[in-house]
Amino acid sequence: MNNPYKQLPQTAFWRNAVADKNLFQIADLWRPKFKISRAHPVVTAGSCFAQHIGRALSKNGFHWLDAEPAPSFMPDDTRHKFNYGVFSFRTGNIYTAALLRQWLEWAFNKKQVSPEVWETGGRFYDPFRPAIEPDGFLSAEELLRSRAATLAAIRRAVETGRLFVFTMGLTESWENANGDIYPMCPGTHAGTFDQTLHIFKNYSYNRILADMRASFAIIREINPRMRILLTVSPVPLTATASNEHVLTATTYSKSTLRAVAGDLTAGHAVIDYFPSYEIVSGFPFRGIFFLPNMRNVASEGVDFVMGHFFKSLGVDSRGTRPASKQSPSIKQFEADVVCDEEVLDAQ
Amino acid sequence: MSKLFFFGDSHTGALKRGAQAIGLPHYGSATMRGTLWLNGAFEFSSSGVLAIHEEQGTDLLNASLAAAGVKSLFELRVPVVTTLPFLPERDLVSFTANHTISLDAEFNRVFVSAAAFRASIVQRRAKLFHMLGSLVDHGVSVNAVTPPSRFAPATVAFRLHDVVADELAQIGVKVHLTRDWSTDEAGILLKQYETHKVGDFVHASNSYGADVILRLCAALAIQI
Repeated sequence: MNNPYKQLPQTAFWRNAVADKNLFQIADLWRPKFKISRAHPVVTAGSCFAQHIGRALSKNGFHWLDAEPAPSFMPDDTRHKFNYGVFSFRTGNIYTAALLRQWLEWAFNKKQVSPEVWETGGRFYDPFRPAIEPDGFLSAEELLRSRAATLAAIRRAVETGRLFVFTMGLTESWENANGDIYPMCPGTHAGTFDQTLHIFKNYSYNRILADMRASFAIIREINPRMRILLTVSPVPLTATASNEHVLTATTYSKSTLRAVAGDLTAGHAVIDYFPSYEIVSGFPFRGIFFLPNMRNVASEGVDFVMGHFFKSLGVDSRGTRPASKQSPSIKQFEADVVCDEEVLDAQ
Repeated sequence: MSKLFFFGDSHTGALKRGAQAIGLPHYGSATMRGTLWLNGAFEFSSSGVLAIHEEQGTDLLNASLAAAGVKSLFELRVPVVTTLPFLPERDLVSFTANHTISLDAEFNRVFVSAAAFRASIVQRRAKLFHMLGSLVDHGVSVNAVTPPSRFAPATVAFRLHDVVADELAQIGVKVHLTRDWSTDEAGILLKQYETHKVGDFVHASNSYGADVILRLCAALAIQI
């Protein structure tokens, strides 16, 4: 009897694609919708897992766009400490779709930039990137000028990029009474928490979809040639404020983000989804790419993910670990990834 | 009896020749190129022995120490004069073109906070600060002189000097800034102090060196 399944490739069948495979042989998880050339400037932003993508692209000779570069004489340690070269601009982690939309709306004058500044002990912290300067800024004026420079970098990146890679990280967030969205809860990295001013949000599917669509509309309005590549971070929540168990909260968060990414991808030729989430978190992979805390992803896992990425593009992967005279230990490499939310672990 | 001991990068050469010009006996000379100092091409031991990763520099330093009758920098009892910690960054020109430091007037370039700029400058010179601080701890009078200001705009170079001067003051090194008397309104070295060597857009003349030494001797109450 003929039926539609007869025509499907091996990857459509669980037994052939997964059950009968060694987990390292599971392949063809991604068929790129569009060509990604080494010459195309690639913008990366999002949650901490996006850093791996930027780093791997650079390592493999792709044009990762650093729109807010460090001075050439800045030593590597200082670059890392001051969050240069982490994402394409110094926003720090953009965990939520709402925060991405806010940065884009600020950068392209669709919304007035918040004047909010936090002061602690004579140093000034940016509520919207509280960890960007390890010891805060000299003054509110310096902080606002630095934020303006980052907004200029976002404009440069959006105007000149050809691929915008965004890693969706969280559904949970904090806002102030004006609806300005923070990347971190006030009082964690910096600032003071005030329950009369600071509001917890766990964004719904509809809200996230709307924020993503609005973000891409801005990007494509400025640069119609820009294509979008979405990923969902496989890194579980460090903590949840949802009153749920952190495991069920993580499942809700990642499922929602994955559903949004799926719907966005299905409807657009210029939006694609790369399954880093499935490769690391999918149960056929048995969690082997997680470190013992079952949260942080080991460098081998990142290499495996990016190996899939480059293989799907028809490129030999050179790994993601930094090229240096002395290879850092795995522990050091993992420590190099900037995840602002990990501060919650120390609460 | 010699009254000063010079060591450092090429800018120390003008200071040495300035001392010669005013007849001030001294030891030492320029020792190694600034880039190599900045790249940490030296080791400084806890016993005060400085090993330079360049044969010529090692020979120059050893000859100077021998002339002074000492085996290590720790034993020096004449004031040490050096331009080392103020080493200009080779990339300051490109930095000036592409970046702006906190609170500078220019706005349409990549912004670097005062803290990030300071951290870069200090980290790049960590070995030098450690060495000079160790000399101070062993009773050596260490005097750091800023190099001539020869490229525009001078703002960034002066920011660098301010950061270095602040760090040096904290470790007990005496700082001798030269910009107040040696530069024009734009902060550029006065024509009269430019070296006469054709094609040299970096160094100062012997008369600049002489004026530096005269002022330094006055500050240290050294009789000439």
